[in-house]
Amino acid sequence: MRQKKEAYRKYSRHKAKAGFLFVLPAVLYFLIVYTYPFLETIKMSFFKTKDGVSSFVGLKNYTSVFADRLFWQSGIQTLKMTAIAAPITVILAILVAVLMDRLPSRKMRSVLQVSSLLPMTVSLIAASLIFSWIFDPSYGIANRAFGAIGIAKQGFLTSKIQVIPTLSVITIWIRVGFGATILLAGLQSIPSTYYEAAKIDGATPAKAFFKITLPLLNSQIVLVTITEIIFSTKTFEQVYITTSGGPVNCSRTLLIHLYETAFKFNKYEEASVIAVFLFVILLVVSAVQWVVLRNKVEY
Amino acid sequence: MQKKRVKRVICLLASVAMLMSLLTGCGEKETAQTEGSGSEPVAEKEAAAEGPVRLVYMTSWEDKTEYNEYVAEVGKKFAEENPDICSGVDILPVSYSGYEAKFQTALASGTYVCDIFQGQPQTYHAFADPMPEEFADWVDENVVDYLKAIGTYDGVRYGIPQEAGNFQQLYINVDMFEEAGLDPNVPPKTFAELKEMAAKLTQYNDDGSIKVAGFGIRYSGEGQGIADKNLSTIHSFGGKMFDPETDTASGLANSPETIEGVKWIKSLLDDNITNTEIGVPETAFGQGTAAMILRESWVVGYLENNAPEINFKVYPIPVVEGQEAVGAGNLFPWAHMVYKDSPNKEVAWKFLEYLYADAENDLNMNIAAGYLPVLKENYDTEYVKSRKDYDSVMAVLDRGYTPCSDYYVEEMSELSAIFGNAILEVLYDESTPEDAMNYAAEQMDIVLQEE
Repeated sequence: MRQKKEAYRKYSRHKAKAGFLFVLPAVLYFLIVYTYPFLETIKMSFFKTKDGVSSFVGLKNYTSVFADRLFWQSGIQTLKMTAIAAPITVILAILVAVLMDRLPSRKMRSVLQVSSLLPMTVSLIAASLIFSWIFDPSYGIANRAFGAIGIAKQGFLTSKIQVIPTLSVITIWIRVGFGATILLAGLQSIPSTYYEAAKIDGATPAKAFFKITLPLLNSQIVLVTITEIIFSTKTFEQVYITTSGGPVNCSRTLLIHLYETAFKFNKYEEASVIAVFLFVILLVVSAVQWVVLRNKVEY
Repeated sequence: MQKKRVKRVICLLASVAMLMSLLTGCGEKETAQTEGSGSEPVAEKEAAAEGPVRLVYMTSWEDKTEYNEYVAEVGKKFAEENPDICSGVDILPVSYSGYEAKFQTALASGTYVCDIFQGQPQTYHAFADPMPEEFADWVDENVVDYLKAIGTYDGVRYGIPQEAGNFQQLYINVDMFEEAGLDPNVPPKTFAELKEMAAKLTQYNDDGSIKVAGFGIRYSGEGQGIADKNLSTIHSFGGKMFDPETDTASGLANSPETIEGVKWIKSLLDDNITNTEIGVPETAFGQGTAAMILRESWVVGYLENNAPEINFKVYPIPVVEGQEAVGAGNLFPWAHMVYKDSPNKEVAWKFLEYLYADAENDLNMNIAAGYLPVLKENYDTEYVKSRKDYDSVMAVLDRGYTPCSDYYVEEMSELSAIFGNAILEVLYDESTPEDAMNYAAEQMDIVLQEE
């Protein structure tokens, strides 16, 4: 008996060691590529470098950043973009996932799944370039199509009001497929017996959707919402390629502001402050969502 | 049992391979494009000390392929004549869009990323090697006068100017002038005349929207670009961005003259002579949706290549009565510099001296790019004299002084971005000219006076 226990302990240690070795590359990667730069960024936000000499300045960089009108303007634009892109992406992802789940033909389902995922394979830069042409006010096909149905020419990316919704279109186009795939997996894990029971009880398809499907998809919806909020908050490529933050900073996001602060103005410390600020905001928003919105539903 | 053992071995090998690739990736060396062949590893810092070196020239002019190829060709000749010290020059092109991030991170790494790079000294002087005195004196004697400040920072020369003609000139569409009953040989001499002619040149759609703008303005892009393209107008009105001697922008960025210049630009929008939808000036002009624009010399080559059907002439930027005529200069003082952490600095400087010692190289490089050469002696060549902007360029060069070279301070990007953003706020009715320029002056003062 003792020998068996000893053998088992040895085996467990051996297994743990093997497990540790297997995850070690990933852990090292995470530490080197994510954790170390992150800690350095936090440290940098409290220092100032002049003529190659770094000195601790406390919260001076923070007060400097928070006193900048452009910083808050960028924050508001980021908020607007997230408020438009994230919910629409989630809603469309739910609709696409439900459509994929309900399609009788497997072939049609595959076609829809591939076509919804294809935009994700396109680089954001390439997509942004293409959309900048689609939305060109003079030569773009969007205005041509509008003109054909009698709608006046729109400014799109050159309009102060339309620029954020237009940029959101690019984000939504790229991201719907990802969300739909996650939600589809969730949909397919819902037992069909619930729907059968609901049908027997006289529930309409709409009622079944709102009373069974959505509640049981709650975890996946929260996950997709969190990822879309993070993605929209980090909007950079679409803006950089199409508008560079214009017109007149109406599409200037926090990441554009960070990029300009770091690489055009060489103010790495203040850029670090913006990065830390973004991280804290996203952490708080994600935590609140996870705690408040997530409901464990069981039938 | 055997299967389990095999599985374990495979898993272990896979983990080791991942770890190896991670460690290898951390120590990966930069590669450079070799002309006519694929990428090859750049020489190790230690090995560069002995034997001929292959110089690496990092440039953000990725699209100027002919210019870059010419530099590589001259590199070949340099290598043939100096086989003991150099085996050639590799071009490392970096996309202009977002080049700042790549250049900053590459040069700040302190590792061997290149030998020569193209940049602006006020931004990159910390990464640049000061030019040998003899070569610096030669550059001062031989480049076009207005370019002398380019390549220098704080009294030290770090590089040789890369292009000339980087100042705003007036491009007019000859056919549109004639259609409007104007004489294309009699351009507007003052800004008042410019606006009058622009009003006559503007064409409208049936719904009243602009079909062809009488004058295309720069209304999009980053702040520094906006400042740069509109500064010539503001300087013409007697305005200025800031004074680096006194570290002040107040009284200059918001002076009555500066505000008047900004108001003139805004009036083109208010009077429906132009709009903020036609696109960037050179594109609009090339597409025939702007009758006049202010743009640099490089647009001559751009239009000849991309819009050969556009019949155009080039004239000096107009003046404002009572103000000094504005000379040459802008906010993008590109220069060839040598990287201070290059182990081949001596060879790099020798190559640059070789490149420019023969004036024909300067001429041919700039013919390839469609630019004006930097050396004085090339201004007597057929290429320069036959350019459409020759008379205009010579007239502007004669004007002499421009405030632009005063702006080449470390904080120039940030200062001009603030200034440019203020102009944008006026153009888009976000602010009045007075409020916008007052706020800009205030913010610029904070940057200038920051310790």
